[in-house]
Amino acid sequence: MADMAFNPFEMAQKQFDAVAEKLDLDQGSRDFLRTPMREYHFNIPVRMDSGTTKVFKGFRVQHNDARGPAKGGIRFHPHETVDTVRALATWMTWKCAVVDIPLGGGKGGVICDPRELSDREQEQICRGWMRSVARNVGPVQDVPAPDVMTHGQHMLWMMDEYEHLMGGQYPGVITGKPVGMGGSLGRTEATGYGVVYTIREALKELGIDIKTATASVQGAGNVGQYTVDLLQKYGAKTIAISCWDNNDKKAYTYRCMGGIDFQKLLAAIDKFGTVDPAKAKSYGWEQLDGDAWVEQEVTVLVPAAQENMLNGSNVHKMKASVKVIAEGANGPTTPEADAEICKRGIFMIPDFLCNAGGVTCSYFEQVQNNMNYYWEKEEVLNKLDQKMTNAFKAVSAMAREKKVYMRDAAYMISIKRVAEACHLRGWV
Amino acid sequence: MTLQTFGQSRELQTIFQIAKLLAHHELALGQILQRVAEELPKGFKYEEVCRACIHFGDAVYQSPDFRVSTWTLRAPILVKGEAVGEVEVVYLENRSSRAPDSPFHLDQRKLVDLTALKLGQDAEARQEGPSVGNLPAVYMEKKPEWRAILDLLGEIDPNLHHRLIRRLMNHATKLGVPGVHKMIAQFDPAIYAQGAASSHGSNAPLPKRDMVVLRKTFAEIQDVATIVFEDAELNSLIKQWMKQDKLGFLALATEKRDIPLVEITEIVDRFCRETREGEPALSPADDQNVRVALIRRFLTDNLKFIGIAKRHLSIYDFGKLLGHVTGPAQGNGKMGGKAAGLILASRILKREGKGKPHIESIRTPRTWYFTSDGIYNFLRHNSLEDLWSLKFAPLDEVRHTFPYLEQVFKNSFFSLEMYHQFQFALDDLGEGPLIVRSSSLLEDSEGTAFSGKYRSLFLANTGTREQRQEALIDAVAEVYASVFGPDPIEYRAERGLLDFVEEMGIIVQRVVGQKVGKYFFPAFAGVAFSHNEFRWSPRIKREDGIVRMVAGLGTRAVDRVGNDFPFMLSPGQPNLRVNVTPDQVLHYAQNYIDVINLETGRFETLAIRDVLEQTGEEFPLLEKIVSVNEDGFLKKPMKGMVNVATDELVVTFAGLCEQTEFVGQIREILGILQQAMGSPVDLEFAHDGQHLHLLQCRPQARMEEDHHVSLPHRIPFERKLFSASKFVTNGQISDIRYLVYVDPEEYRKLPDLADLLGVAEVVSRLNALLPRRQFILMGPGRWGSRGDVTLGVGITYSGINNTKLLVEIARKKGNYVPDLSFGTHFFQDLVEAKIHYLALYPDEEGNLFNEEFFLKSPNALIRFLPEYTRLERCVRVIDLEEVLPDCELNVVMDGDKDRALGYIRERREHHPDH
Repeated sequence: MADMAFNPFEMAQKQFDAVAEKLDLDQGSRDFLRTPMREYHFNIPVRMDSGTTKVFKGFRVQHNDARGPAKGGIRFHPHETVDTVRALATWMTWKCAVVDIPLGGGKGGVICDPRELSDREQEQICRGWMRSVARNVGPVQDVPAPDVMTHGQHMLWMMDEYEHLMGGQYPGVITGKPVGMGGSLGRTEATGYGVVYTIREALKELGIDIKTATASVQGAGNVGQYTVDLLQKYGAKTIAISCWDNNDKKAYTYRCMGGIDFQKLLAAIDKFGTVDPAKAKSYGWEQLDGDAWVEQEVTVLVPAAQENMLNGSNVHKMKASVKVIAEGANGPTTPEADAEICKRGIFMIPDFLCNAGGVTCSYFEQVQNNMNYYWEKEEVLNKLDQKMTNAFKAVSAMAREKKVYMRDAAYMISIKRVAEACHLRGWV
Repeated sequence: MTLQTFGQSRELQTIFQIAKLLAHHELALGQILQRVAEELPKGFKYEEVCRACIHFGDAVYQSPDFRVSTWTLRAPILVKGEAVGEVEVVYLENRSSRAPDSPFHLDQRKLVDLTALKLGQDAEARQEGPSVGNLPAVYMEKKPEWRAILDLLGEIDPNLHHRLIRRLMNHATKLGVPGVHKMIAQFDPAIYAQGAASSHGSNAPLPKRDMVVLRKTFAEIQDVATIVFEDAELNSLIKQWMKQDKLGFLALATEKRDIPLVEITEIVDRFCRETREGEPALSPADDQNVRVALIRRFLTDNLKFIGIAKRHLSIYDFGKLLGHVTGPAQGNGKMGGKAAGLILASRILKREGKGKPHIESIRTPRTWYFTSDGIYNFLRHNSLEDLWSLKFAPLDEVRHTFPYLEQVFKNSFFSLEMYHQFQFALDDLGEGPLIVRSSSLLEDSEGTAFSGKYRSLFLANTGTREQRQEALIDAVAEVYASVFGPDPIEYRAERGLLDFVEEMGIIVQRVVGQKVGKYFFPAFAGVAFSHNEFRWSPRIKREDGIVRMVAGLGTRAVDRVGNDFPFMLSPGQPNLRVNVTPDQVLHYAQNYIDVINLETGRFETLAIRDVLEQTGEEFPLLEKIVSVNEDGFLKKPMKGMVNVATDELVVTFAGLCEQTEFVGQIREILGILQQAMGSPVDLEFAHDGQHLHLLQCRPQARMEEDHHVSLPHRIPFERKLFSASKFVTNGQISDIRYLVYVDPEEYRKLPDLADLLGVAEVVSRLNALLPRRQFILMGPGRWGSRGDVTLGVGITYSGINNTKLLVEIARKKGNYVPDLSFGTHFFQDLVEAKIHYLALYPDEEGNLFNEEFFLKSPNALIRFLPEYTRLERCVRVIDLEEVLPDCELNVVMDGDKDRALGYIRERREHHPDH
């Protein structure tokens, strides 16, 4: 099986090559952007609880920092490979560029299994990682964040180590910190609200009054919940939301033609996004099949749960009323469904634009850290609105102008921005 | 006085002569010493070459022809602790062929020591002036007290007299008084048979000793004692022995195996009232004898257990315990295995934990024990005795009869005697929740833990006295009924224990916990094991142990629950957690809590979020049990700073593990008990917010560690059926002909509960039909969970006990998650029955699952159970003989590398793949 292993970096390069072809990029830019600018590989010796020393392998890949300090997570995984890290760093470059935040792309990791490490040992790995790259990361160079199997506590240890080494307060060295320790307000809402900002803009372009719009949301997790919240604030109705029922081990769609009320939803939902059927019933919500969210007579569909939820088997069930699909989740649409959506001329807001509210909020966290001044939640969300709206407009304009599908337009605009920055700097 | 009788012992005779000389206090000391020097050589075997000399101050007294020799014995004469002289005995030549260097033997050495001692005492007495009391009393008119007592006893209680003399003899021997062992030897059959008719062979009865000779010997020993011991010492010894003898009633009573409960309770109580703990009320041998007898009478006949228990349980422990033991007054029932384990463990902790505050603070809940013969009384009273034969009926019959039987029991009556006993116990226990637990004779011993086989029932114990009593009686009847349940009967049959007459003791215990609002529950509770059979990291060693615990009642930790996740910890490696990222911690956290609702009087399972909201900060140890989730950052709350209305609380036990002594406490308890019991142990515990309570202790069921096997190479791809890469233990199974496969997808699609339960029924019946240990069971989710059958096949132990391997399959669809539920009763059963376990994650990268094989191979279900065609799509029985003749399934599990592989190989192949 090993010989057939999927290489994510090769895939990222192929994706890039295709867009580079469309943009007719010069060879120098292609060669430069196909591979990361810098990579750091290092050993982290850790004195284990047993008294022995174990050496862990660490990486930091900075794919591109032409537009600003590199940005990207740190992963702790026993099967981490440098190619995965390279691919993820590349995607971070494009993601930051599409929302037009002044950040580049990076990614890092340590080959380790946190399940087999005590907290103290994990702390040593975090501090060791930071000691190895402290000269090469920082608020103006490269800003790490949590990723697979890393979390806020790890970020605080790393920040603390960096500040020790640099002899000052540098909360902007890393993001994903808890509120009160340099974290930003609004992070909970950021992704869901970001989805709605792009929906609002899409409806505007289609000439539909958002107050008359109806939506069906798949997934009642964090993204789904805050999508419902902001849609309601804009006067739109979410008439259906589907969720996974952790007790019945199957999905249900709850429907309320008068619109699902956000406060009621919050009261009925548990931490896994399961809606309490009894409460739903008391609100007068109908309980339908899990897949019923696709079949609703609505203006907007928001797949905000898992990959491949819009696929060949259900895409035909979409009603003609659907005008916009907003990909709140990563990769919710299969190529087969994508083709059908494209054919029907439905307005697609692709995932890496639609759900970029999260990374934008990380950027805000870092900005606030660097100036040591913290905004109220409203201010964070207002700024988020501006960023998302502008990003949307740029991609949409590109799609119109070049007559390409929104997904392709998003890639094109981000790669164009990065390539231009490299060019302006005189690198290529 | 007949000194001639001392002819048997030269040494003793000499001592008497010397004593006699010393009694002549009209003689001057010098004269006495000279005569002693002349007398002393007569105590030696080769008298003709023996000489003696006494130095006293500046004077020297010698026997005739004394001269210095190589072979000499010396002893100092001490007066008030200071040496004033010396007794010296020499052999002029060595006639002993055995010991050329030292011709003297031990008794002779002691003779010289004793002479020096007596001379010293005499000199001391003379210095202090003539006083009758200080002189040897043997020839005096006035008898010392001890002697007067013995003489009197000789007249009025010859048996006691003999017993005391016997002890006097033993005492003298123990202290090495010369010659005494020869007196005792007179009773040695080998010696006195020499004197009797030579026709006595070893099979012939022993000749009886003449009473006159015996009496003489008795008199002699008293005379010896007079000389060698102080009167004061003897006075006190005789009194102590008499007292001990008086307490012999206890020994006598415990010797009676069938002594009724009421009688033995009274006797032990009397003993404890008449004596004080710590005083030598009984001789060590008697004490041990009584303890062993009491252990045997009340706890168990198991020799290993007795061997351990006798070291830790005192008679006074039984005294305290028996105040809380009740049952048929004339009966001779025991307290059962569970009770025995708990009593012993709590004593061990008390004893071994002295001076360690965190161990001393551990408690056991207030408990009443009903003896195991109560069930006889109950059955007899209701004319249900014919039920005893039910265990030999076919299991199907047992299974079908049981629900009806339970109702019969619950509608039967207890005898008036037992009724009153329940009332008495209940009054003593007072109000507040109780748990009624089984404690059968077979339960909780090594290898037969009967985990969860018999019922344990919670009672809210609220309402009027009558209502409370009714509830208690009803619960006891239900526990009694469980003796006839299919699971325990199957379990016993398998272990060859059916012929044993199972009796059922009952434990009624106060539930450990607090009243919080309308609920009652402990802060947390769970199980702990000395050996960790389920290690989530190779860094954790088996000896590091494991704890599985929950907030609230421990039932969720002990049972396999379908929709929830108890917290697990390895006390030896507390820093290596099962769940590492906040996401995992959130996802695998406890969501439900078991409580007793004091208003409804029922045991309830509630969403923990709801209970937290209702109880707020009153939830015991709240800030030690939960963490606050702030946007994925889990914080340990500070006391008084939790807002249950707005904070998202997650059960993590972070505060408990990091900021309290709990982990150390559990680790130490496990260590102490394992060492004392001589085997790994399995505990149940609960914490009421103030103290940790021990609820149960028994030997841990162990899976014999299979030796390590590596995964075979070069198995053709098409022969591989499945592979696993998580939670693998070492082992290898082969010779499997049948695979019973419950298809997760079809199971998920089953329309109603009846069909879901039907699957369990089919599996149970296949378990009975297929050849034992030649098949494996595979299917979705957690098998045998309490509650939701959609999460895994809802089956009990008797439905899977013949399989060789249980494979739980986790598919992405259907959200079947095999539970890491080592420590539950269900897993204990697997371990005990040596059934292997494997969890498969077919949808995870790197794992192999040949679904086509399972779905396309012919299904033999109808051959075995033609009536189940409707479940044919869901339950598939693959007969390898039919699919691939001469082949068998082989599963190799490499626990060290966390890899397992199931593959087909030809039978009788000579391990070509190794």
